[in-house]
Amino acid sequence: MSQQASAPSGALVAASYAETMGPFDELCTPAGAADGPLRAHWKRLLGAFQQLGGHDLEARRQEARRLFRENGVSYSVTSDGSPGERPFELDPVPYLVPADDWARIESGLDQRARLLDAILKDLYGPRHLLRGGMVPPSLIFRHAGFLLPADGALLAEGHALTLYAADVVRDREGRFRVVSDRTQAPAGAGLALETRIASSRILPNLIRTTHVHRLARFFRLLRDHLAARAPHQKLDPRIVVLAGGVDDPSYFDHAYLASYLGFPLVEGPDLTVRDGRLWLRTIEGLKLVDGVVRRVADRLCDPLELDPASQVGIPGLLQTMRRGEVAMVNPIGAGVLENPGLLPFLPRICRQFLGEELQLDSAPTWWCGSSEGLSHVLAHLHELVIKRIDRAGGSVWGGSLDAGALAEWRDRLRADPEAWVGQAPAAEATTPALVQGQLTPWRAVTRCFVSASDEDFVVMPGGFTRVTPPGEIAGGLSAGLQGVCKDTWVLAADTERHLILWPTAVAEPRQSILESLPSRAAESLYWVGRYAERAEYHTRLARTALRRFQDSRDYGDPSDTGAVAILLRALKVLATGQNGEGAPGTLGGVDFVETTLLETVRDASLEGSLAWTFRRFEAAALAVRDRWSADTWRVVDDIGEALDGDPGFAPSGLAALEATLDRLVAALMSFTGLTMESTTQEHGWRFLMIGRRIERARNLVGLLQATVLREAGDGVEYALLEGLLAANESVMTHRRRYRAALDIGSAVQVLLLDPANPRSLAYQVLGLEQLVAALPREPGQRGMSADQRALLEASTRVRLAEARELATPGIAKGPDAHRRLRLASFLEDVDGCLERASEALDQSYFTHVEPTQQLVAVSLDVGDPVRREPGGE
Amino acid sequence: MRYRITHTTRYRYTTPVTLCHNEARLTPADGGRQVRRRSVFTIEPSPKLFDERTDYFGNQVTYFGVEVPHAHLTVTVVSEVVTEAAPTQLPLGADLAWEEVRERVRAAGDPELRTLHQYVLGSPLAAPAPALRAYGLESFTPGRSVMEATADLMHRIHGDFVYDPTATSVSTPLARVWEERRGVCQDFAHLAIAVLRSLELPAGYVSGYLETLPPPGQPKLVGADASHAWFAVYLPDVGWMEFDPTNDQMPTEQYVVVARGRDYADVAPLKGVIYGGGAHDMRVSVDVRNLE
Repeated sequence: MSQQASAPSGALVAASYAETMGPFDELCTPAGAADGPLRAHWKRLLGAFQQLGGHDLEARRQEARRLFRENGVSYSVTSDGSPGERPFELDPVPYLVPADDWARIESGLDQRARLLDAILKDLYGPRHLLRGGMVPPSLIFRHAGFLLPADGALLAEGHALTLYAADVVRDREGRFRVVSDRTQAPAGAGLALETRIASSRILPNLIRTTHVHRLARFFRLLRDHLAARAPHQKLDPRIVVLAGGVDDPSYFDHAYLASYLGFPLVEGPDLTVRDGRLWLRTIEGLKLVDGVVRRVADRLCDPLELDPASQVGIPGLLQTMRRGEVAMVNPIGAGVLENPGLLPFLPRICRQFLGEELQLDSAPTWWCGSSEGLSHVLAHLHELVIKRIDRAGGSVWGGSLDAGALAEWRDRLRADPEAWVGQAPAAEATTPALVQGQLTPWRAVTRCFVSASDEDFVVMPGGFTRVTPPGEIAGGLSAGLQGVCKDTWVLAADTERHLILWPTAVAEPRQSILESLPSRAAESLYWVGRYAERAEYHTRLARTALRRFQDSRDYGDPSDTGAVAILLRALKVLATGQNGEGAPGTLGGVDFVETTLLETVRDASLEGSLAWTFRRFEAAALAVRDRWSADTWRVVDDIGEALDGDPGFAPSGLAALEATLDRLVAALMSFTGLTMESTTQEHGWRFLMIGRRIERARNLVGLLQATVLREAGDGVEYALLEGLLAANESVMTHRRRYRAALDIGSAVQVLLLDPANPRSLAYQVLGLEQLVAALPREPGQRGMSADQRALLEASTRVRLAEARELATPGIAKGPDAHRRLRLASFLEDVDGCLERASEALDQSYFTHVEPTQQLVAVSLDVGDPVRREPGGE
Repeated sequence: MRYRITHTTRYRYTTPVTLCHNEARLTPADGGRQVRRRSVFTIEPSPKLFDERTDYFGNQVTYFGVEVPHAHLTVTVVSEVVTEAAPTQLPLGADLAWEEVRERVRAAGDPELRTLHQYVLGSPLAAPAPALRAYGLESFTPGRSVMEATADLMHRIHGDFVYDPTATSVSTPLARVWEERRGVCQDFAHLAIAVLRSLELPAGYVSGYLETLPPPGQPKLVGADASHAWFAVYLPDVGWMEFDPTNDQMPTEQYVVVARGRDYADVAPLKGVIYGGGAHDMRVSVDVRNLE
């Protein structure tokens, strides 16, 4: 016997593979099959993986983990700045779908999309399904997704359902089955793209030689279809991706999809309804919106007609959809299709509506609202997944319940049977997953995506596959989008191979980016600029103070000690925002220095600390996640790492702290470099730069106010000025201008008035004037705007100022003795101008959405009831 | 009867509202025992968009958006409606036993009964409860006709609950009304609806107006009327039969229907979302003038 009835040999495949695999396995045929244990489409790939070996594959998993984190797949912070979940990990071994299997899925999903589209239009239209008794009324009326206000609000022509997702598994015979349908705002399309990108990075040769279907065409068709449905601006439609905000667990997916499709990523407050139409608030005013790719749940979309408590919706949105003024993808109300109780009825509805047999079976499902369904579920509860019909509250795997819990569930189902279904865990097949360097049979569920195109539906040739160990079947598969995922490789048939061009860039060129900048994005970019600069400024200052302190310990020079005390105090003043001038103080020893530095650097709970500033920076950057390149995001990630995982936190870690600060400066500089060199210099970039320049100017002003307004003794002042030049990267500039001669006059010249020094106040102010001159202005505006006036005043003051004069102390005696009054008033005046300029910019360009409130008429029955005859009852 | 109804709602804001979106259900129904001759909206300041449609329940809905800053908003609807007296004899089929109604609704044997199912289910403001079922069973004794039992329920609510306009607001939950045994017309309507639903009978909410008569010898004051609310129960083959527990009677030709739904939330006369506005107060005046 040459054929062995066991799993293929080789250390990569676990020795126990054949024993632990499911009744159907993607890699191996059942033991003893005539054509050998290995399935044909796996032969070449398994060979390639065996050549790589388990160790190498694990290394690639690490590489994928890094890519995911850098690209933000598994990296999220919440709006309050706390770190979010890290949900995903990529198994480098892909999920393979052979061409003939794929043809079945594709055709089945196309049919299912047509069927669901027809059901959707019927439920919000003539309701033949209900009236004709094809589905029980309570199955629809009990479903929270059936929204009465959406009745009659869907487009009668064309597709109502535009973007549809189905979770597909293989059952014990290897047949594909749909476990659930997603129709409101299906998540995961961005993740499918991202896993493809990661897998083509870690397995570049393999994916190229394997003839895997590309995903790009699917997204191009989706984009074309959305554009074609634009009701207004046919030639240049404005389509937005409406996301629920950075706290939404699917935020990455939304941002990625938006950026890939080239649509602006917006949130509720970015949009407003006027004149029955939908508008985007931009720095150039309101712009008409043609289409919305909606990632906000149905119920939250419109506080006027739907949930009044919604903070993420747009009042009047449903009305714009009803009037056909905006193409809504998917239409509000589509959540009614996310109903597992519909599954048992689909074959009949399919025959009725489409005149076809349902091609793709669902996982066997019993609705408890029918008496047969209830008795089946009660009898088989321990082998079923219990789900609510409207997805509220997740699902429960009966097999995980003990006798008491099963009895409780039976009571619960009997008490309210219409709300529940029982579903057989259909994912009984197994697929090879890489577990500690070995292929082990796990279970898989693939989220497939379907998009309407102009004529028909198209199915994305791929998907987002999650795998779980066999023991975790029910919980793992029904849980959210997290855990271990795989890229889904749909293999091309021989005849299609010439169509697959690889490795042409996965990303398509984006649509023209002549989009108007949304106001909220402008505001976020401005704050990214401000926080990035503040972080950099404080890091440099902390580093300077630290180095001076080390000098003072090494040389024992009291001048250094005095200067360090002033610099540390200035650092605290800048960080905490307290107003104060640096008076020569005494240095409280190593402990004091350490405490002050560590606190202002590491303590994220201290407002104004470096860690706090960085969190704000990160949150602002995340709010415009779709605008950053992968490289830029990697840098953001590096900064977080420098702050999070560093021994500088240890109490005795001054040396380590210096290393941390060095790393931070480098990372922040690369962020600056990337935004300078790799960002298109349009309005978004301008707001980023404006934020940066304003912040740098005001930090510099604050630093000088806190340090040099009062004359310190000669030795201390020299050390202090040296420190100030170092903290402002101006040591070289000063040396070129003045050689070694350093006094307050030369320092003021270099730090404040030198227009050629990119760190000087003059440079910031003149730069700001140019930046704001290029911003869009209200049509018909005459003369200067308020921000331009404020900046003109600032630049005039800077240009007219004279260093020697500013440096001279005003009065020789009294409380103001040794105080540089002219410098003080100069700094104060310029700072005032900068403050006015930033307020004016805020007023002109940023979102000022007033809070909304509900008006409810409380007008019922305040009069008397009809008067009755006394004793008439 | 022929009525002219003037329903004015006036909002005042402490700071200007820059934008508001509103939805009104203030146009009287047309059909059944009433004919709507005309109904005209006057909105001040005038809205940028004014749009009318029919909602899921067949009510006329008016959407309007005001896009100029305003410190006041006044919505006046003047309607003319002709009503007919209800037939003195009960229609055929009205003597159906209540259990039979329940069984026919459960069986959902015809298209109309199937779509009625949602009137049996709880809605946010009128959900079934065991205590309500027990209360209802005192009227719904075995084999009793649904009309007779419902009339008895109406009568008991009228007797057991105190009419008290200070007791409740729109947001008072039914549980409190039940506990404190007091409320206003909408509470009594919700209560009756929830009792009927607890017995698996389809019940709905009706909003409208009622011509009030001044005390003998006094002139009728303009604007002293109010919105009113009552309930309806569905009888197969017959249709909706209406009852007013506040006044312990079946609606007469003095009743004008505006809208129907599952509960108040489906028929709120005027709702809106405003941007800005600070604090606001609202005045409503209703005048039902008999033109005959």
